[in-house]
Amino acid sequence: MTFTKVNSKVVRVDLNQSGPVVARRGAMLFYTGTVHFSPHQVPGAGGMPGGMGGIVSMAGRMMQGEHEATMVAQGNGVVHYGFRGLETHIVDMSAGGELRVEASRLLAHTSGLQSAVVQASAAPAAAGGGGGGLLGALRGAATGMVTGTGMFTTQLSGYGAAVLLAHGGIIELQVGGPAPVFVDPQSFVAALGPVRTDLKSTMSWRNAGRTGGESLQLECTGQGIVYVQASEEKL
Amino acid sequence: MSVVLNPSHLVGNDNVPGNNYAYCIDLQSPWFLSKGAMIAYYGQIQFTALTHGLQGQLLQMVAHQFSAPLYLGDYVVAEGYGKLILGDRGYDINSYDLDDGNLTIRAANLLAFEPGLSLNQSIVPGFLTLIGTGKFLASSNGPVIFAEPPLRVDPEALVGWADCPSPSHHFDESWVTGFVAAGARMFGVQSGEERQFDFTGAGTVLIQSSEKVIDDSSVVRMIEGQLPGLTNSGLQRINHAVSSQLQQQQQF
Repeated sequence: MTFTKVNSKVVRVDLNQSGPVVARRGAMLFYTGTVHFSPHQVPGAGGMPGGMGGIVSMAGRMMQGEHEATMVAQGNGVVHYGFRGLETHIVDMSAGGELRVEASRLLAHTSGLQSAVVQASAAPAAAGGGGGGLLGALRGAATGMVTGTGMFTTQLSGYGAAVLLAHGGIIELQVGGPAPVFVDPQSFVAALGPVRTDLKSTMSWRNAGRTGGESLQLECTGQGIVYVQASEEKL
Repeated sequence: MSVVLNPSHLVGNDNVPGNNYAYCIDLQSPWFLSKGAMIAYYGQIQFTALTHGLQGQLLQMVAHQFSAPLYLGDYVVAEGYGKLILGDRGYDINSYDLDDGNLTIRAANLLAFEPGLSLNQSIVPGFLTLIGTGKFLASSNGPVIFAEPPLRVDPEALVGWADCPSPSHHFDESWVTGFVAAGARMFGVQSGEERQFDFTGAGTVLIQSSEKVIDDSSVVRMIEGQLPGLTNSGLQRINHAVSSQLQQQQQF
């Protein structure tokens, strides 16, 4: 395993084994050895593995509200990561895969993973996407409103490992059984594999204001794992 | 099934059974206590501010053991007999024993200590040094991680250090463009990886999952205390740094 849990809130990574690690800025707790930190995806810092940034892409991400300043750690040593006392959860992607997570809930990942910004409600690479046209746009807007960060989400793909952040512990829900999985949008953390998330509303004009606060749900279908936090706190 | 506690459940000095976030002191002799840490108590306990109202023996004890004038207002003396339960922001609370030793700790994380320990203001801003023999209680965001030097620690993640690793600043100068920019980030609000505390030497470093520094009043007081000696140009420079920092914060 590339990342190792030290306790529920801290992970450690040996850069000799993992190669360079991209992590959210300010998340490094401490390190031993000779490690160099430099801003990720900034022009002029070229030659970094996985750094396919360039200023255009970065500006685009900022506009989409799907950007957190990240730092890449390189060298020989062991680095410990944690962020504001939030719970951490390691996602092993050594067998390859796609992970969709909001940038604000991503603590760190190995630099071998390719990151891209995709539309929040779209299934990665699989059928349908988020649906074009007005309906798709509306749905995207609604998702953005609910999750609080935007209509777009970060997709990591390839081989490696990533660490998620959550308020309260994370539970993994298997998607792909006979019944779909419904998740509260505020508790939704990430989805691994070809999982399609659709925002469902049980609200109509008839019952507006009388739905008990659980009227918006994410319906998760496909094959994979959905990560859910035991809290409705936004990050 | 939760248990309703009564004093017989609370034996000695220990965490409240099944709860890492609360700690019970079996109070027999006076303790120094961080203001606001008490959440409940059994028995007869008086809390007296350090700044006024102390008399006789207690006043002498404070005068001897407490040499951190910036923090006088942050601590009280608890005296009497009973069970004193402490909590702090939902942080994990642990007790530590010092045996003729020394330990420096972030002021915000020091909850209580026995008067056998003397409290001294550390030369690192925002930190306090405990010297002597006795017990103290510290809180941490998540369990404390103990590590040995040489290592470098994010300032926000540092809880404290024991024995004598020598702390110094380390800057990743490769991309910190100017010293002024580094200086503006000095006070921990905006923590990136460009600044770390470097520890070398023999000892132990205590680390937590990083916290956002909420209460920076002691740092503010320290800065204020140094203002009178500054030159005109120095003051103007600080003024400039403060206003640019304010502007930055308004953007978020």
